[in-house]
Amino acid sequence: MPVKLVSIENLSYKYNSIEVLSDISCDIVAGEYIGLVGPNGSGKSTLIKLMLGLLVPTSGSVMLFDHPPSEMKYRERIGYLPQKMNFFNPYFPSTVKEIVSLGLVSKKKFPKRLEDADEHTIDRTLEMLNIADIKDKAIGDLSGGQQQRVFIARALVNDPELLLLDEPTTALDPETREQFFEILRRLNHDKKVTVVLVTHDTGTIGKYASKLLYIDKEIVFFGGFDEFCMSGDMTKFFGPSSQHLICHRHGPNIITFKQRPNND
Amino acid sequence: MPFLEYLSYGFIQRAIIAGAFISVLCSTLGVLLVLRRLSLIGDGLAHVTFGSVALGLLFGVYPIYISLPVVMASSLGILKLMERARIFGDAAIGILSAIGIAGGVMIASLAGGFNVDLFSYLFGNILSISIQEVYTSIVLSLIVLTVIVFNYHDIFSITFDEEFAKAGGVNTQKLNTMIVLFTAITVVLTMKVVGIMLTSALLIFPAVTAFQIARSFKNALLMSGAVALASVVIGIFLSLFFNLPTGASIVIVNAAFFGVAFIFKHTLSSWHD
Repeated sequence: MPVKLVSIENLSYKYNSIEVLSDISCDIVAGEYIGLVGPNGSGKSTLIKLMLGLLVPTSGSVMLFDHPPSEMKYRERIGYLPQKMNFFNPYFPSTVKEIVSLGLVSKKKFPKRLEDADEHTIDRTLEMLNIADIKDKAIGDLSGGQQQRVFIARALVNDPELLLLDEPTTALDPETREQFFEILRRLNHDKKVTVVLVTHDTGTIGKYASKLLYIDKEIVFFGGFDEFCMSGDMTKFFGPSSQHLICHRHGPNIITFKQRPNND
Repeated sequence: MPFLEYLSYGFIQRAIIAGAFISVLCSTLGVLLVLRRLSLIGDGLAHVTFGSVALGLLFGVYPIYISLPVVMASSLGILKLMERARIFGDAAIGILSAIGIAGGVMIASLAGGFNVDLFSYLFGNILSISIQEVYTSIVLSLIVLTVIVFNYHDIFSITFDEEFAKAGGVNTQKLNTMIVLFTAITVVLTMKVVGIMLTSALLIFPAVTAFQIARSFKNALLMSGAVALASVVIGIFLSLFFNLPTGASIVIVNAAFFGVAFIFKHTLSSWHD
């Protein structure tokens, strides 16, 4: 019986009376790798925040590991990477190691202390992302790509069961991007980590994800890529060229989504 | 008078001890407030302190007994205004600040105008600090600093990225409430050191000085504390040697430390370039 890590039922969310999400229902099952895509303003980041309990639904419900997010205590089971542009202060005095350690320590019980084993875990995660040599550097002294790898390390360091990543490949060069997707693929394939990845990069996500969740305030499509490629509805919605592009999974192609089908 | 002879005077010992504890407290909270872009909360709460001190003087009650609860309640008011009235922190601070100052001026007017007592709270007078005030400063400072130490990682987490901290299960609401309440306590204690007018300087200067040099959060806290402590001690002695107002001397020394750190940082950057 597949284990549902996230269950969303008739979820709607309004911000300042503007409807951001409408009647979303879906389940995220353990071991899945889901590409969450949609145009700008479609509610992707909002959906991730609702899953985590960072926002409260206007109506409907979210269950995270069988609990309402506000009551879900075992946060060490989750790794989260917010959209970088939302929060980062480049002048914040903090080393790479301090920031990555936040992914471990904040989920511990009181009194929260770093132990020797945690130091090894942090070092291992930094090595996985090729940033072990900069662990004592200040975050403000790093390039955009290095900073993003630090935030990715922070999300991965506690060995989560569920990874929620909001546009993680922003600022990464193509080589680093491929390495990052390969790391995710191994985590998903070997350790059965469930991945929900928000991206505009449908070409690349198509190579790795098992399912596509396309939203534009509501769910337009949720299913496997094969299903997406065979769907006449999706041909009508995206147009044959865009659908073809996604289905043939060519490199990192950023495509422009149509806002609504134009009966073509 | 020889330098060491000054240290034998009780009023100087009390000033240095109380100043040391309060300055370290200010610098610690200052790091958190500056990084969270809430630097002006110290100014705002200081203005509320003015109103509460005027109230205390009007009723003949020791001002700190009125100021502590009033300023703590105001700090919670700022949080609530930000949540409920959907305004940014600076506007919420401005509202409480205006009410505090206007209230203080009205109360002073009812009491027959400004007097020496009220002025001493405006500009500070640490050399007249009583032994009771020293004990109060030590106890409150130790309580606040101990709680901060025990919650260090969570406080670091919400200061760096509150959203990530909340997603990781950190009780951000509780910590935010705690930080503003601690700021309120700190502001009330600080009015004796540098006065209501200069309280925000003691919160901001050590932090921004440390940020010129520190590369890690831990070092920023330690350096900020060291700068604050040095500024208070040097400021007290400068005021004694040159017969200057003590509160203002402490702030000027803080500013000098910032200037030195700024020049040092930029000189170092040019050498590396």
